[in-house]
Amino acid sequence: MSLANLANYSSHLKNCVRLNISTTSVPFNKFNLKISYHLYKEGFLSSLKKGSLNGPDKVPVEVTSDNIATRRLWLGLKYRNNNAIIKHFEMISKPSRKVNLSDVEIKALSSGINVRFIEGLQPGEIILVKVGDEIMEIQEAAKKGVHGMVLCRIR
Amino acid sequence: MPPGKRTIKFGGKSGILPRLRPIFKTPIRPKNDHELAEDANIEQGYAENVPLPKKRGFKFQRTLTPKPVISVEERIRKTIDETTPKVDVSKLSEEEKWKHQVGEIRRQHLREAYLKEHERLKKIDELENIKHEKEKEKQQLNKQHLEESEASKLTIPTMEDYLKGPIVRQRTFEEQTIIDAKRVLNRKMTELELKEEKANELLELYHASSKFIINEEQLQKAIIEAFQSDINKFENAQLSVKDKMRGLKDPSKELERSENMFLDSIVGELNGKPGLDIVKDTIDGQIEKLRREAELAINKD
Repeated sequence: MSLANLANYSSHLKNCVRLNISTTSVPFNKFNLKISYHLYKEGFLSSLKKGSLNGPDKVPVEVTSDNIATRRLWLGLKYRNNNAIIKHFEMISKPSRKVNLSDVEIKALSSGINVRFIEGLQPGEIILVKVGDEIMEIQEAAKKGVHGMVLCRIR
Repeated sequence: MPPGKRTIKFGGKSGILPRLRPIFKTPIRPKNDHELAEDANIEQGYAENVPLPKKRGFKFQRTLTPKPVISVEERIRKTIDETTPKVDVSKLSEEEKWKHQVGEIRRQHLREAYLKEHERLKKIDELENIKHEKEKEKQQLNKQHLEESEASKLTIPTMEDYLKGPIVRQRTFEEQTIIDAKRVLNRKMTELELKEEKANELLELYHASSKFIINEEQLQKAIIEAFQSDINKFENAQLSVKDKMRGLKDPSKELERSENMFLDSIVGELNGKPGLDIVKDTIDGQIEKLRREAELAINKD
């Protein structure tokens, strides 16, 4: 996982949302899939489909080493009254500033308390945390009492 | 100073008292499951490959040997009942009677102390058990909250499961073998092409070498030819030099050259001389074989 990839992902989504684009694609990899799945679960995306460079697959296609270069992950972006649902997609950790928080700090952040320079979690907002190889929502991380790197916040 | 202004130090005692010594130095009951589980988590003792330290008159153990369990009843029996002297009190003198009485009272106190301590420890144990059970319940509840229900596990699409494994299907052994073979073939084909190109160039050089000047007579002839005042030839040469400088080509010569090229490629020749394929076939004896077969066929007729 690279934070630069996440930054690219965030910029791409923000660019698409600015132009009111309904569907867009990102490279098909595990990291993008995990992040997109969280966005989908929290209701920021309307759909999540596997596809190729041409568009989402109509018939399921197996991902192999031969076709991985053309595989894409198609995301459906959401709008309400001509306003995008993703208004804000901000990186907390950057490649030059990785923010690792303890379990106590994560609990504080998830309950809305400011931690260091990070503003507490607001209603209608999600913060994604990287715990080991997994990526989870901050509420889940606080419940489990784990520590990890805070990646980004979306609202 | 009015009372209550300052906090009492050391809980109202003068200084810190030493820890109370336990009445029972050995355990009075075997460890329960919960204690055993806790002990199992503790890593202690000497590992297999670590030599034991040496001390005179003392033997180190690899693991901690548990203290023997002596129940309160057994302790009372051993230390009080069995040590009570069996004497006839009526036969004792006054002093001995007094001593006996004191001993009896001391034993009585010890018994009471043992039983009281036993009661106290029992109560503590009960409280501990209740606490442990409550903790267990809390953990169970937490687990229920965190873990998904069976219904959601069965109904929600298996995205998490999909993310656990590799998202790209790896090539099977057969597919990998085919790809490896293809790669080898590609490499060999490029190598062959390069070699053929080189051989062609070599053959071209060989054919061209027939025109090389290799002795004095040929050189003389060439010099005379070069300086002969053949006007036509000279003008032609002059023209071609000028054209070359301008970047123009003689169209008639160009046509002739391309014609020759076509002819060469059709017949398989090189500048009107045997090409690589013909040379190869000759070396293999393929042409000879064909010729013989043709001769045989003609003779048959």
